[in-house]
Amino acid sequence: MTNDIDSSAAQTSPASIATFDGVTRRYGRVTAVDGLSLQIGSGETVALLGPNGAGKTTAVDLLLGLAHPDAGVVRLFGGRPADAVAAGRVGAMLQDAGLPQGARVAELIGLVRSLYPDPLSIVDTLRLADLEAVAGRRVERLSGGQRQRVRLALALAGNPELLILDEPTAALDVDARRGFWHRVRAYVSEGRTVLFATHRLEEADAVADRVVVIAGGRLLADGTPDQVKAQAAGRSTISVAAGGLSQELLERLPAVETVDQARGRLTLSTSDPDATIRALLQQAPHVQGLEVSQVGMEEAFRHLTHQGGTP
Amino acid sequence: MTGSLAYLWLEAKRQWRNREILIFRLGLPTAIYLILNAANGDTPPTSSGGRMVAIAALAAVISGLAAGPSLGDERANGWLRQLRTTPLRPSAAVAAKIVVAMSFALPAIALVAAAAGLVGDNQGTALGWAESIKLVGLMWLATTPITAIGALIGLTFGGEAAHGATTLAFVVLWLAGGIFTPPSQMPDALAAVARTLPSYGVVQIGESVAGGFSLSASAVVVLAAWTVGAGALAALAWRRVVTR
Repeated sequence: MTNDIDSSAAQTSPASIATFDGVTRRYGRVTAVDGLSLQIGSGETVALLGPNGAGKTTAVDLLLGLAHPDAGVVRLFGGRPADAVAAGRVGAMLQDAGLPQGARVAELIGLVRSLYPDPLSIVDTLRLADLEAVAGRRVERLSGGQRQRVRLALALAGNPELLILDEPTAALDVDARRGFWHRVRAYVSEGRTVLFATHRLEEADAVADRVVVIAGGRLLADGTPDQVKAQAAGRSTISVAAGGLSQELLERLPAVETVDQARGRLTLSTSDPDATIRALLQQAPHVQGLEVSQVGMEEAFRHLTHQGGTP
Repeated sequence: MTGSLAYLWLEAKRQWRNREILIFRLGLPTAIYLILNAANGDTPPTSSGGRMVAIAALAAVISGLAAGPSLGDERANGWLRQLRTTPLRPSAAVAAKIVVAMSFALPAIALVAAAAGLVGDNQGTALGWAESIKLVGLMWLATTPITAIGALIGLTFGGEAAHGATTLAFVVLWLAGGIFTPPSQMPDALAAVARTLPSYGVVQIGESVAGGFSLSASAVVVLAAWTVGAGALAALAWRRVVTR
């Protein structure tokens, strides 16, 4: 089930730097990414939004060449992901990646700088990640938030064209999260491209200019945060007693997206409850037990991703 | 290339300033040597190289295997994956571990030899400067296959399992590998195994220098075979690690 809000925007983006073309990746019996097609254009800030287990980390791994697709093609800067990584065009912050004990903050940043063709200065890197005060400290003596900022610094230090962040704020409290995104925005304001994976709708909303929703490894929605929010929040559910009503009838009603039958009731979701109810009463005037509910944003998002998660 | 060197430099600094590592790899073998030497000074020599060569070989094993847990930890905590998102050549991470392990093996062996020179080794013959340097240098080169085994362990097992496998390898090389007991004093079957282990190769190289004979051809063959074999298996394990 794919609700493509604005696929044309993605397809006509000026210069596509990352492309998933029908990509599938399985781990044993689990299909982590399932026929994913996606393009990311230069200069975009894209949130890859989905619940835990949606396939976000696998998508990130595929993009970085850390995993290889079972089917389909992943291209990064027009070539193999590993080549783009080797050329120093990508910087990444992986989920929960450790740091080598005994190394000092400035040494790690210095190492990463030495690996990239056109790195940021060490001063700029420390300032962007707010690490000036702990530059000489060994990594095992840092707080959790400081370690997180070191990992951001390592992703930024090479001054990459594409920055990939996998659940970068998972371990941070609300204030630290705000500071983190403030720093990322300062970096991307200079025309760089960012892809970040998150399970927080509000984070995608606040930071990204494009939101790609995935669940069960499949693309569910792709558009601006407002478009995705509208799709999630503008949704209502209507529930009626099933007696004498066919599922097909309800599916043909205007604005209906899904219909489920359970425990003697038919429940449908709609993007325009007024139009759906008017048509329903016209076609089935004797309908009983009518209930209409407005779905909250979080719940609607869960609903949206849950649908995609159950094949 | 400069990136690989930068990584090697960081890895060396990181390990060389770790006090526990210094005590364990450099201090411990020397301390064992001095204690054994003081404890049973009058026992007749068990081999031409004596206690000094045996404990220098122990030092070589301790430092040589160190790449194992270090690589295993960094695979488990995700640091190696993080490195793979950078332009660093992936093999540079493994190469750095091996080179740094070798950088500890040299002074670890040299310290045991120096301690023997200072206290006057009462097993085997006292060596002159030139022979001592030759002994340390050749035993150090002979440590190469043990670092390959360390890398193989780190690339095969992650995290805690790498620590366990390293301990097992250490115990096997120490007890069955001609360090604790010379093969000549072992039951035949065990002696046959001991003669094929690289730790005994290190001992034999040391004994040949200390005893003034030419290098044992069988030791050189055993050491070369372990270097090639463990190196090739490590390369295979590495390919499995990098492609998921």
